[in-house]
Amino acid sequence: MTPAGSILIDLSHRSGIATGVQIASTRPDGVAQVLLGKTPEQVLDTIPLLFTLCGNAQAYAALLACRAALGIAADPEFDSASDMLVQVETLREHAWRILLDWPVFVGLTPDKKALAALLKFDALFKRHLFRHGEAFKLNSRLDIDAALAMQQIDELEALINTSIFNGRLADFRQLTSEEQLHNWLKQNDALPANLLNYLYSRNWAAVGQNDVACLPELETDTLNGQMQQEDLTTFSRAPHWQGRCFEVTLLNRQLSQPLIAGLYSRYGNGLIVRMLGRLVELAWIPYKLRQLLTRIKDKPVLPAISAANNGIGLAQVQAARGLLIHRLELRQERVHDYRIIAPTEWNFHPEGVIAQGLKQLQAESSNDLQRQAELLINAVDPCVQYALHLTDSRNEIENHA
Amino acid sequence: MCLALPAQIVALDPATNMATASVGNVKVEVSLALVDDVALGDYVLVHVGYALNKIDEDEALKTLALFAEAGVMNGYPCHAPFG
Repeated sequence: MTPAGSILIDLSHRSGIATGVQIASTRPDGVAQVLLGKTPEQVLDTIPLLFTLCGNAQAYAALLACRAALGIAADPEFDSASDMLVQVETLREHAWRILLDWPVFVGLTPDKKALAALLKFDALFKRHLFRHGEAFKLNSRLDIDAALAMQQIDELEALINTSIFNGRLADFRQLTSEEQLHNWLKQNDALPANLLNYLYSRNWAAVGQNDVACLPELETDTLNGQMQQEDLTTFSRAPHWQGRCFEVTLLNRQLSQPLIAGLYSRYGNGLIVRMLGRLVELAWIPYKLRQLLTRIKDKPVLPAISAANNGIGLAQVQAARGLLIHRLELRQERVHDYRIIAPTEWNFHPEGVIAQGLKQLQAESSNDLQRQAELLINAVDPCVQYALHLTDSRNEIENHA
Repeated sequence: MCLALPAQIVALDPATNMATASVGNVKVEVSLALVDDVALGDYVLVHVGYALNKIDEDEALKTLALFAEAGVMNGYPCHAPFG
């Protein structure tokens, strides 16, 4: 274990039938404390040092929160360019799951070369969108080379088309029903098709289905109002909305897609819906990047939300793993309070969507239970390492007898 | 939250493209498959067993100092000069 900590998941079962779940965390939760006493400029210098995988989403949320607290007006063009960087990061994170994790579930070799190529795009997009490649600062300025940015989008799309969709990305984007999906799966041996076929063949499409709903979109003022009523330390560790746990994953963003909506009506928030949701979001990101680039000159709709209230700034950004919230309070132009609520806090809440999903598992053996649990955790995707421990309560009773 | 903990490369195995990296006094095995030209003594950002990218020593030490300030390194003594 490293200082980054991990999530500890204890799953009790009887011969593969889940009987109880406990989730604990060793993740450090005081990181935002280093921001206390800093100016907004210093905050924005510090945030990129603290976070890695979701660095763009974290830095953008911090910038939006700082701007809101300072009463600086939104800049639609700048925000579209920033959203492009968050989208590139989201694509990379989804590709990580698909290229490195999914093959392992079906006995194939991970494609590290393609992922290594994807990692290089972040710096290229920053260079083609922002002056000196520096985004997410109060004094950052756009310096867009549209031709080169478009070329990068084309190259990114070609890379995922080859490495993930076996050249059939365009066909995949046309899918709107499960029947069409089955045909697509029959006709190709792309890497994700292997995993999806595996889930269907094991009859695991609905595995993990549970009643924890996706968090509805919240007005920033409303969210801020609730947070002001809460003990913020407790809320940051175990967030809820009106006393209930909610899911904040990529599924929140994909339920409006016809293919995902159709599957959701049949399998709820089960495994196949989650896996496909990731694939669908990834497939459309190059398209979305083109839209954002084209619209930068057309005063686009704001992609993220922030609001100001007496030196308080709150921002909501859709990061790869789900909703990311930054809230800060300035007093005399320095940070008096700073809170970061990452999607993992909602999704791996002790009573949250992963806990409830694991409780629903009914496998034929403890080996299958382990595999189902790993697939479900991977699909919801914590941002830190996790340790899954299975205990057969029947054996435990026998052992204690 | 995915913290960007810098780790220093303390041993390399070119045959397997693996390395041993040190975070404070904790040693972790990392794959170098996603990053080019890593040498002994380099600092890299590590996530779930992979080195993601190289960072320069100044940035690494600054980051480690921030984590020490946040108490993240408690129990993980680090040789970096924490400001």
